[in-house]
Amino acid sequence: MNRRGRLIRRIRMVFYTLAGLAAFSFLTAVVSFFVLLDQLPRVPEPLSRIIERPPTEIYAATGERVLVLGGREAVPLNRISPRFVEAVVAVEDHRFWSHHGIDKIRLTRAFLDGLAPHRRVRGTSTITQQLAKNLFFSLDRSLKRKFLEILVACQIESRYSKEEILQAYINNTSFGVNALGIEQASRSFFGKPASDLNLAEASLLAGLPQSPSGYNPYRHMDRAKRRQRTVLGRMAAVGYITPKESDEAFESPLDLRPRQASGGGSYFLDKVIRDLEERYGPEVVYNGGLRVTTTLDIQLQRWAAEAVEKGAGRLDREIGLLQTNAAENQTAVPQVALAAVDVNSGAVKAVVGGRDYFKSEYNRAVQNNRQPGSGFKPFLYYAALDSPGITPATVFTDKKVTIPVRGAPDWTPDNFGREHAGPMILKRALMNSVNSIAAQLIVELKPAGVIETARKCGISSPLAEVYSIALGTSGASPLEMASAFGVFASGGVRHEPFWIWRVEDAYGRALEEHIVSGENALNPETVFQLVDMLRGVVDRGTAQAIRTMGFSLPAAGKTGTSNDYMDAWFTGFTPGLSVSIWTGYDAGKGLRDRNGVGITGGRAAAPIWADFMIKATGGEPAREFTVPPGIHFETVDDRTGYLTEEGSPNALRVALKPGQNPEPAPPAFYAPAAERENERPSAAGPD
Amino acid sequence: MDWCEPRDFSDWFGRFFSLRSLTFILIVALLVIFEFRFDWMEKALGSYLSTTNRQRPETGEIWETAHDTEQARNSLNEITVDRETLQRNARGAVDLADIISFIAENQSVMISPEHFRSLYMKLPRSIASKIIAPNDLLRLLGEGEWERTYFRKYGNQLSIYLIDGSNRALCEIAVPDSTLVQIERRRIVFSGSLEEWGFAPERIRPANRFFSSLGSLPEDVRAEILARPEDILSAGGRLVRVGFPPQGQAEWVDIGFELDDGSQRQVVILPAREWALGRLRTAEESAALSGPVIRNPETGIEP
Repeated sequence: MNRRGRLIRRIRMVFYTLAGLAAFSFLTAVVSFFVLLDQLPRVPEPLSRIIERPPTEIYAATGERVLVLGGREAVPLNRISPRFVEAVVAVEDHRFWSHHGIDKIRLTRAFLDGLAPHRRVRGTSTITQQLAKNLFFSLDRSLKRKFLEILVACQIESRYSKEEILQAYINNTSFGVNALGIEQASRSFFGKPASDLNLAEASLLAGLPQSPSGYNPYRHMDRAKRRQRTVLGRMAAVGYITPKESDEAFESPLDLRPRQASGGGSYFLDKVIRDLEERYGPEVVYNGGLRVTTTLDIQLQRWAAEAVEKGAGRLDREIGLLQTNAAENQTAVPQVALAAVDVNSGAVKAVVGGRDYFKSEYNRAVQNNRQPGSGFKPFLYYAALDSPGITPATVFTDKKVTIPVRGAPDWTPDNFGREHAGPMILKRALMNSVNSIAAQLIVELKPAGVIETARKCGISSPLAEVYSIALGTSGASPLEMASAFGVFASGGVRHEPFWIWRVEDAYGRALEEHIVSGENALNPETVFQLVDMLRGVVDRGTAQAIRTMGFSLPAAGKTGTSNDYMDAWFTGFTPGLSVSIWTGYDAGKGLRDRNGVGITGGRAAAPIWADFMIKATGGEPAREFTVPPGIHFETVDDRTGYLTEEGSPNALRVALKPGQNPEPAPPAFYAPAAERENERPSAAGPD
Repeated sequence: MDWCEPRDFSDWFGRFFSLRSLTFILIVALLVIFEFRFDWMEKALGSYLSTTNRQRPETGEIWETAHDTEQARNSLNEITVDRETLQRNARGAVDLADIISFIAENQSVMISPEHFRSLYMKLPRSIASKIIAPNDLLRLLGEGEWERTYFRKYGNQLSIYLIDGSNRALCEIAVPDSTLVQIERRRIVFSGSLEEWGFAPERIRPANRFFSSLGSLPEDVRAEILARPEDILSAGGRLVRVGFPPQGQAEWVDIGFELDDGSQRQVVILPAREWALGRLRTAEESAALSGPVIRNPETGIEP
C-alpha cells in the first residue's frame, strides 16, 4: 500500500472512530437520561423552601442569643453585602449570570486539559450545580452523580431566577465552625450581620466553602489568607474591584471574633443541648426551631472564663510549666473547673469545664467526680452542730487519733501539717481544717449521719459509708458542691440546680418553664452556726488568700485538698452566689510546685474564686447573711471555749442557738496547763 | 443508491466538500454555536424536567432534612396541643376535682389566682384547710405578688405552687394522696333507697346505730369515715339508714346515707377509708348494739 493509501486509511479510521464515539456518547446520554429520570429527585417549589427550617435558638437569661442550632438563618440577597456576592461569583463561577446551569466553556477547557498530560483539571461545577449537589447529593464522586447534578442544575435554571439560585446557594453553603449560610458565618467569624461585611471579610468568607476545615481561619490563618488572596485576585480579574482595592483588602487586618467569646458558654451550652436532647430528642432540637431561655449569665460566664484562664496560668507558673506545653497537651497540664449557682433559685449562672473547650470538651464542672477533701467537712460539721451537746464553742482536742475499723486496718488520719495543736473549739477546728477533730466527730456521729446531710444538700454522687468520708474521700462534681453549699448560703433552703428557664416552640408557645421552689432541707439556726464558722475560714482560716486578694464582702467557704494533692478545691458563697472551684490534673498526678511542695485548695483554687467573685460582685453593697431569730453571738477563748473579752488573745466570736451559753472561765482554768491537757473541757456550757 | 466507501483521497476530499456534507456540517456547527450562545439544549432539558418534577421522588439530603423538620414540627405540635388542651380544661374547671382528674403524672397546668380562689371556696372546709389555711390565702392575695397557680402531679401527689411573676414559688402545697381521693370522690346523690343502689340488706344499719358506733371511735378515725358531714346536711331530709359496702374492697369505699324528706327518699354516697370502717364494725360488734330494725318502707325487708 502506497503512502496516500495509508493516509486515507488513517483518516478513515479517525473518522469512523470519532463518528462511532459521537454516536455512542449521544446514545448513552439519551439512554442514561431516560434510565436515570426516575432517580432524579424532586426539586422543592418554591426553592426558598430549603431555607424554611427554623433554627433552635438558645438565649442567655439576660436575653442575648448565644447559640443557633440547625435550621437555616437565611437572608435575602439584598441583605447580604454586595462585596460578598461578587466575591462568591468571582471565585466560584464568574459566568454565573450568563450560563444556564452548565458552563460549557469551562467544561470544554477542562476536557482539553484532561487530554493534555500532566495538566491539572480545573473544577467545572457552576454555582447551580453546586447548589444541586448541596441539596440532593452526597459527596461521592461518580459519573452518575455528576450527570444527575447537571440535569437538576438545568431544571433549577429553567424554573428559577439567577437571584433566587444565588440566594439559595449562599444560604445553604457550609462555612465551617457549624455555620451554615452566610448569616451564621458572618456572625460566627466577625460577630456582625452579613450585610455589614467589608471587602476583606467578604473575600475571606467567600473562600471558605471550598474547604471549610482546611481554610478555617481560627486554625489555619495562613491558608485562609492565601485563599483570600485568590478570591481577591479573581474579583480583580473579573473586574469587580481594582488591583489596588484587592491589595488594600488583603493588607487590611481581619477583626475575627475571638473564638473563646463565641464559645464562652460552650461547656454550659453543651450541657443545655444534652438536656434538651434527652427531653425532646435530637430531631426536635436540631429541626424543631425551639427557643430556649437558659440560666446563663453572659457577663458572669465571661468573668468565670477569665478567672479560670488567669488561675490556670498562675498554676502553670507555680508548677514551672512552659506556656507552649500548657497550650498543647491538655492531660499534661493542670485543669481548672468552675461552677456558679444562684443561691436563691438554683439557677446555674456560669460554668467553665476546663481550660480550653476546643482542646477538651470534657466538662469537669459537671461530669468530674473528684474527692473534695476537707471541702466535705461542712456536711460533717452541720451534722455535729445539729446533734445535741455540740456547739461551735465545744472543745475537742487536736491529737493523734487512731480509729479501729472493723475488717480493715486502723484509721489514723493526719493533719495537714502533721502537727497537733491540742484543745480547741470546733469553730477553730473548722477554720484550720483539723483532720483529727473531724475524725473524732465522725466517730461520734457515724458516717450515715454525715451522708444524710450531704444528700439533703443535694450531693447525689455515690458516697461510701466509711469514717474517712469526714475527710472527703468520696467524689463529687464542682456543680454538686456549689449547689450543696448554696443550701448553707440560703439558710437551709435547697433549690435544685437547673439550666433552663423556659422552652418555647417556633411560634412562642411554651413547652416548659421552670418553677423556682425551695425545700427546707436543713435547720436554719444550725446552718447559720455553720455559715459563721465558714466565714472564719475565709476571714482568718485556710482561705485567707481571698481577703488578701481584696475580696471584702461577707463570704464563707471551705478549702479542700485530697490525698497527694490530686485535687485542690475551694467552694464558697456570698448570700447571693455559690461558687465551687476545682483544680487538678485529669489523671494520676498531684499538684506540686517547682520545689515539690504540694499545692493546696487555699493556694490554687481560692485565688481563682476571689478573682471571679471580685468581678461578679463588683459594685454590690455588702450584704450580710440573714441571722435567724434567737441566734446570739459570744466571744470565747478558741482553746477553752470559756467566755472571754473581745480583743483578748485567742478570742473568737461564735454564733450560738438559744440555750447555748458558754461559761466564764473557772478558777481552775488558771491551773497548770499540763493538768488541763488530760481533761476535755465542755466549755460550751450546759449543752 | 448504494453507498460505497471513498476509495482514494480525492474521493474523500470530494465527498467532504460536497453540498450535502457541507450542509450537514453547517447545520451541526450552527447547532453547536446556537447551543453555546442560547443554551437551547439545557433550556429544553430543564423545561422537560420541570414538567415531570411532581412525579419524581422526594429524595436527597434536603428532603431528608425537610422530613426531619416535619417530624419535629409534628412532635412539638403534639406536645403543645396536649398542653393547650390541658390548659383549656384547667381554665374550664369548675372544681378542684376536675383539675385532679385530668392531670396525668408529670403533667402540669397553670391557672390564675382568682380561679384558684374560686376552686378553693368550693372545697369542703375540712379539706380546704388541709390544703392551705384561709388566712394564708388571704395574706398571699393581699401581698399582690401571686400571679399564677401551677399544678403538677408527681406520682400520687399533687403539688400546687402559688408563684410570682418571676416563677418563684411563694407557697408550695403538697396535697397527699388521701386528700386527693377526698377531693376527687365528690358527693353523689341519687333518688331511691339504698337497696336500689346496690347495698345488700345485711349491710344496712339504722342511722342511730351507725352514729352510736361512730361516736365511740377516736376523732381521727371518725374523720376517715365521715369526713364531710356537711354533704349530708346539705342534701336535706332526715337521715334514716346507712349502707356499707362489702369488706375488703379497696382502700377507699363508698358509704350510702339514706335520707327521707317525707315525700321521697334519696341516697348520698360518700367516700370512707376501709380500715376506719373496719374499726367501726369492730366497735359495733364489741358494743353488741342492736338498734331498732327499720324496715325498708318500699320492700319491707329488714336489714
